[in-house]
Amino acid sequence: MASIALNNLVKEFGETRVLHSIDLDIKDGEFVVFVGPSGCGKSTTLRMVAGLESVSSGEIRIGDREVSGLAPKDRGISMVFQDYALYPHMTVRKNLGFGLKVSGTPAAEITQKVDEAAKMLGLEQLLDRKPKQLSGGQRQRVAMGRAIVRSPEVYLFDEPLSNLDAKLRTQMRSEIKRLHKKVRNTIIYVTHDQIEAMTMADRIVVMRGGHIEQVGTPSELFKSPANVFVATFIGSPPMAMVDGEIVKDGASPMFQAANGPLLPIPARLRDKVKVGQKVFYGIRSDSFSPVGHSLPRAGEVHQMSCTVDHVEPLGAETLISVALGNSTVLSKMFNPTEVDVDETRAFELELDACYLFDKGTEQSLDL
Amino acid sequence: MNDIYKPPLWPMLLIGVVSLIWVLPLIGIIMTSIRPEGETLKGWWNIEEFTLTLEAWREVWVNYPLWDALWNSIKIAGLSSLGSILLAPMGAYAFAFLNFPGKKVTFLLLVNAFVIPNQILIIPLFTLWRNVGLIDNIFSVIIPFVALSMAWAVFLVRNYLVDFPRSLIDAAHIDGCGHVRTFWSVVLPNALTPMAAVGILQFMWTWNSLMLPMLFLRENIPLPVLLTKIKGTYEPNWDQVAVATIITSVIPLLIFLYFQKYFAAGASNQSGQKG
Amino acid sequence: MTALDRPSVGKSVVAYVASWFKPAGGQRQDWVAYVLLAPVLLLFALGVLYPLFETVRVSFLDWTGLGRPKPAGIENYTKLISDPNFLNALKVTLTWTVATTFFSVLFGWTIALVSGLDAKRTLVFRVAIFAAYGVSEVASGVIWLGIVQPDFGLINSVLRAIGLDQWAYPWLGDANTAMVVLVAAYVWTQTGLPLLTCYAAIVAIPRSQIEAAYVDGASHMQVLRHILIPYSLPGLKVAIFLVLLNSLKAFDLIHAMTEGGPVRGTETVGYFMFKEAVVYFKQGYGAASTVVLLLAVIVVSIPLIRERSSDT
Repeated sequence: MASIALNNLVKEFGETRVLHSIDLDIKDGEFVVFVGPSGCGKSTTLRMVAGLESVSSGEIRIGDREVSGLAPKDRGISMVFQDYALYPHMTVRKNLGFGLKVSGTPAAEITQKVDEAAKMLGLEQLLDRKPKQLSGGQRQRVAMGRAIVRSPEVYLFDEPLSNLDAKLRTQMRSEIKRLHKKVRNTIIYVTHDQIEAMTMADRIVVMRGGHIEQVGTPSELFKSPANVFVATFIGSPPMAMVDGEIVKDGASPMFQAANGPLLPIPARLRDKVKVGQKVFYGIRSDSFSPVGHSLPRAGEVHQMSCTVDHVEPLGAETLISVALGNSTVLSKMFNPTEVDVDETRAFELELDACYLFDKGTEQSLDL
Repeated sequence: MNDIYKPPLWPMLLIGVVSLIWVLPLIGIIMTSIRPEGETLKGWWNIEEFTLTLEAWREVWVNYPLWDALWNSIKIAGLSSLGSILLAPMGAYAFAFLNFPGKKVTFLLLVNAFVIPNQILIIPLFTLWRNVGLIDNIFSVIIPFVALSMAWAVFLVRNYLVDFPRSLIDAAHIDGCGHVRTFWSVVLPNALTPMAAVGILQFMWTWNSLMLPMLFLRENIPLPVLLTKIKGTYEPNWDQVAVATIITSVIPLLIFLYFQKYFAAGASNQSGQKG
Repeated sequence: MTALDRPSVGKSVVAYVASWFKPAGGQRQDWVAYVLLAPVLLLFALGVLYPLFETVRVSFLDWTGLGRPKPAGIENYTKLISDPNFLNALKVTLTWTVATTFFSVLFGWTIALVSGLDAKRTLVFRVAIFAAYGVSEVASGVIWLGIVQPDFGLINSVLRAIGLDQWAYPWLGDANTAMVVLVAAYVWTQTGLPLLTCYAAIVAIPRSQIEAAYVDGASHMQVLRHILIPYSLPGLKVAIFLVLLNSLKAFDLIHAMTEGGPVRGTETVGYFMFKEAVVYFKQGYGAASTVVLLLAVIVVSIPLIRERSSDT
């Protein structure tokens, strides 16, 4: 069991700096997901923890040891790869036991541990097959088995589900989650899929361009995104950003959408805005619905009438795009009825679930 | 392709005629080997008179040390191929996956040595082998054969390894392997295709070579050297020369035809293009 | 950046050469590489580098194999350029390389293109032509000796059979016809190589392209001209270089058939060096001519070397 600490971690390839001074503490037994678009540095960070990439500067601590000079095998980690990386010339049994064999574990112990892992993952019937004879899902399971067999302190997952089809992916997500509940080891899991992050993580680390954008639990990231990037990256469909500025309208400040309507500012933010400030007004589709088709609203609600641009019926709900000035906003219609394009109808906006971001810094005004 | 158009007849006819010209010399040598020499001497193309006899096929083993030469050829080509098969992947692994000072310069030097003509080797190596008493030892040719092969063989295997899944190597490191163990337990068992290509190309090339064995060997000569000696005798027995020619050619020819696709890989490799 | 980006001025050349020795940026060094490379490099040094440097060294010596080698400066080279036999060898080499390369590549390329129109039914024939490439040069030499043998060889016996007795000729007894025979024999063995590389390029053409052309109403000749030929060009380029290099270095076939004769009519530089160094024991002199051969080979291979090197 081990905690992990990344202190001032930097990675450079030649002249290019791909990781800019990462600081992160991961608690013992925590399931942490690194998420971000490709090239954000999440995989590089993971590979540095694994010992597959050298550290340019800074330190990595696993438990109470500084490990950045150690070989992968001396770090107490195991890793599941995106393409599974099963040895094609070995049977499943040999694949599972290879790490133990290399470390000189007695044959009887290897057999016992391999059998245990195989049982845990339902691989007993497949032990004598070669990877080529397995389906994608089975290979994935073997890859996990290989990680389990070595009973490491830390599991590292590098986009392990991205090669599976949607159905299997959902299934494996819950299996990995269940596995974590059982073994309670520290896990670092890398993915570009925010849904994976939201459903599995104890804590999510959102990365972009070699920086950490925000760290928090899934609901923290959803409810209080620190900036435009996190707000649009987490949640599906993504939060709409309406371009505009703060104007004075009578007593209270208002948001003037560029070429669009005037919107009230959420009560919690009214003291934090300055007149003339250029901002983005963030709206999630769940908090913006046609009147009569919304969720029960707790707080302040703003009604306006908008023209329907585009309609996407999804069955249980319908997504409607409307234009607010220069920007397009998605609205979610619950208990949907027929909606026509170009129809004008009344919509209601739950103000407490809206966000404001400074246009220059892209930071949330909630901070 | 056949679904939507029918190819014309002329390509087949043209290639057919050309190929007939190409196999004519081979047919001729086979014919010469299975008829009495007297008939051949009346005219190579004389088919009015034809007597089938395998006499030359029996005689040639008695008159010339063909068995010894065959055995020498097998030893030389076999050991040279083995050497290349074992050594090339080691170099290829280092160049494909490792970082070390001097990597680039070593690699360029090694892989561009394929242009070096064998003529470069003969004066210094003859002197060297004579000084260390290696003349007439088959290793006097095996060593330069394997050394020369490194130029293309390392390149060929490296090009294969460049596309080798990097994650397998990472997985091996996670499993606790160092580079030597990774090479031996993970890379080598999955690089059998390029190793086979190296072995086959090297076998053909060393079996067919004349210059180095002719100069460095005295008694332990392989087939091509023996063949030049047989045809150089004052009055060669053409029927037996024909048999010796066939015996010299048949093994590499069969290997060559059977493994054609490896030669495609080898040829495009020599040029630096990826196969 | 490719390895052979053209360095322009002196300073950049130095930096460029120095960059060969520098490891790729910021990566850790794997010293174990030297362990893996040691056997390869040791063997390479013994079997290739040592002879290479030694041949260059010997080329500056007056050394007949007996006696003590004496330093000779560039005397061997100055003697070479005034030696009519060497000048002859240069001329022969030029004729030989150009002729063998031209005909092998022309035949191989044409056969590959025509086969491209009907891959299925030409397969057997292609293999038959290709087979000659698997026959050693020595065996080919012996086979062709039989073909041109003056008394009963194929050519003369056919000529006599059809009443053209006066055309029968001792083909290898005349320097000009001997060269023709030698080229023919070499072309016979080498044609398989361009056939292989060009055909490999043609098979790689996406089938949908050819089908689209036929659907658009193209004739066979149009398909040949607009699809097969352009696609075969990379294979053609490779073939030209490979055959050119092979014939520059040729030795075995010449030795098996003519030994450079008659009257040095088929003596290429690659064979000249053998005669001088091995037959006449003039090792320094032979080494100098080998260095000339090496330079020729290197000049011819520059494009190939560039391509190979840029691959790193």
